[in-house]
Amino acid sequence: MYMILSLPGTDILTPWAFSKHLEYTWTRAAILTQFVQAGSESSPCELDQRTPLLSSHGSLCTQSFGGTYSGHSNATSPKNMGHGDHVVDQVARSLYVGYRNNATMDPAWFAAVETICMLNGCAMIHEALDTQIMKSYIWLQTVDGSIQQVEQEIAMFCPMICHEVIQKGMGSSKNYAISLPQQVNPAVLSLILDYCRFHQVPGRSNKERKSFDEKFIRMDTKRLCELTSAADSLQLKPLVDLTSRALARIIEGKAPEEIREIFHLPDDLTEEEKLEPLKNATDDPRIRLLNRLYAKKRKELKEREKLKNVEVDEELVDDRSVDDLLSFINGDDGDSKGIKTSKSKRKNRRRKDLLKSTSAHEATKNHNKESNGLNSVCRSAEVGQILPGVDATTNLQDVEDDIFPNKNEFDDGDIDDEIDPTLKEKIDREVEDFARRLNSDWPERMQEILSLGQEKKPVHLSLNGKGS
Amino acid sequence: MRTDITNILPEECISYILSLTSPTDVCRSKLVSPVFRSAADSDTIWGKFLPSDCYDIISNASSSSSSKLLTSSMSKTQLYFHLCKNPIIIDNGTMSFGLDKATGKKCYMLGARRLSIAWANTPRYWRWKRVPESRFSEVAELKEVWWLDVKGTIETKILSPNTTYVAYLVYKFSSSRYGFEKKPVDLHVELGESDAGRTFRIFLDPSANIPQFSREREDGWMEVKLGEFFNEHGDDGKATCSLREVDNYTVKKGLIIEGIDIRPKDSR
Repeated sequence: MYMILSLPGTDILTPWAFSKHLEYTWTRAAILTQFVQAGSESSPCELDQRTPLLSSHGSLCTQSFGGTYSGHSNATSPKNMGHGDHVVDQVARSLYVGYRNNATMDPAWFAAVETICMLNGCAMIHEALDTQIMKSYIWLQTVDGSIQQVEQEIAMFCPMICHEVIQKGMGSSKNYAISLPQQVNPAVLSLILDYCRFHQVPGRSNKERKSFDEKFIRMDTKRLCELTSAADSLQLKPLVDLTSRALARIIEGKAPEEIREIFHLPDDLTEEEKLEPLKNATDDPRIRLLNRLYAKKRKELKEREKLKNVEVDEELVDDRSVDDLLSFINGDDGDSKGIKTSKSKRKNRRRKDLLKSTSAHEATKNHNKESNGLNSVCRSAEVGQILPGVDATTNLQDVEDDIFPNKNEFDDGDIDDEIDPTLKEKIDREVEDFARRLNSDWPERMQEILSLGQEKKPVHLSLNGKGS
Repeated sequence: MRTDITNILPEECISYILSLTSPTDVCRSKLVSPVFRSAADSDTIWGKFLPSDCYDIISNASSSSSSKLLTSSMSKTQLYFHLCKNPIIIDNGTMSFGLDKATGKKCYMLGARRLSIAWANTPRYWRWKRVPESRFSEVAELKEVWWLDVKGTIETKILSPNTTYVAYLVYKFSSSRYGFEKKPVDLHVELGESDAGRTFRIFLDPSANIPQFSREREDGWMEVKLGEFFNEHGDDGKATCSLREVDNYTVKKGLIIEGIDIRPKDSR
């Protein structure tokens, strides 16, 4: 939609020279052509009502100004300009602004060029251009309705304002003031403009800028928040960063009550929400399921690898130590022989089952755990709460047979690759329940076992010796 | 009339502000108000706390595809918390990588296979075995040895900058342990070529009245602090951590080593 007009010469022309240049170098046809080519989104004859229109016979019409002005050659002096002189002023100014920016122009530019070329008398143009202030202003309107004009280079420092001016052609007069977002009230706007006024000057050193920023940021918290919000709505990133960092420094290291105090926040979290442990990703049921699957897959991989190089010796050794432990639990060796054999038979049978279902390692895992004493048992209780239910249940099933009557179910569940969600829930609940009981019962029981273990140490060692 | 800031600041702004604090602050801020709670779960925050090369490290993870599948389907928030609790195995199964929850800094554990253990390949002295409670595929079990020398090194460039790291030996005793109650061991950490480091002598298996320097970990293993070092920019070369007992008069038995855990100071 926009074109860059190429003007010969690289020097900046004076207003007079500029108007002369226009007058003599641009033909009407050339202007019209450019205008037509540029207006891809809108027809050349009709732009939005704020910009001058080109009527079908090429004379300039400006509906927005309530009348038409057509360029006639007899309009030689400013005094003869009727209600059109406002147009000229407007047009001349935007013309010159466009030229000075030497950048993309809006369609008004072309129409303006047309107008001026149709006007006679460079003197008039000269005056028109001269009277316009070398600076140009942008008109801004805040949410409360008040309008102010701001130097262009300062206002254009804000990307949002820049966008409004260039893309939509707004801000050129009081009637077309840019409406600022509602977060920008006059007080905050004045702060923002102070910031822009300082930083848009290119020549400043980093030290100067930093020093300005540090002083600038000293204000009460509420004002800081308003400023952050306003700067964010204007897309003024450097200021957003500055204020956000200041607020971050305020929040850092403070307790929740203190933060509420500073920001005047009501204490409106429910008691439940406060007591709920800090929510993190592992509370998400999907993630827990994934964790379990992950751990299961990892175990299965290990099992498969282990089966490839299974050492028979190792298993025999472990077997023996569990038997020892079981006998300790039962109180003595003699009487429990019967029980022991039946238990070991059961274990053997189960072990065969387990082997088939590739969970052989769990039997040996149990044994290793128990021989390591209290630590591992406590850990398995914890594990029951956090990680796979399968882990904890198969771990403890050899030792506390009565608690899990439906162990076989779990074994089967172990084989399946897809864990049935309801079964999973059940496992979860049972594991947690058991873990809770375990936490209360086990410390005493393990102390018992350990103390028994120490008394019988020599026997223990020799049994191991046999196995190795 | 006091208006609260959540009427003034949009949630995205609050998220941005929180991302400029620390993980601990963000978690704490969840207890402030419902808006803070919601703002604190934003991916923009936790994405910032993840180490910049996090995804590179994960993509080099050696282990089964399930871990990669898991981590690639997670949001940044989920990934952060996942790595805090579940270290992933990298580098051909010899090392694990995780995050310290309070700071987002990198934590590594060098597996036993990655350490230099004297006589480790002589079956008479050391044995390698698989135990399910280890995150690695193998741990080293000491059968008997007179010269006990365990050493691990880590490149400082893979660590988080401007952090004090502590190295721990992660181990257990087997039922046949011997010698560690009789002789203290030397624990040592040094940084780079020029640093002499510091050595501590402690009893790894102290008897009744002697202070216990080891403590139990959450995963069921024991750990003892070998020493600490400060990593500034990662250009100090390697940090070396070791445990030795080489007087040659006392036999040692029954030590099971999982690896050396290296994590930021004051992390749990």
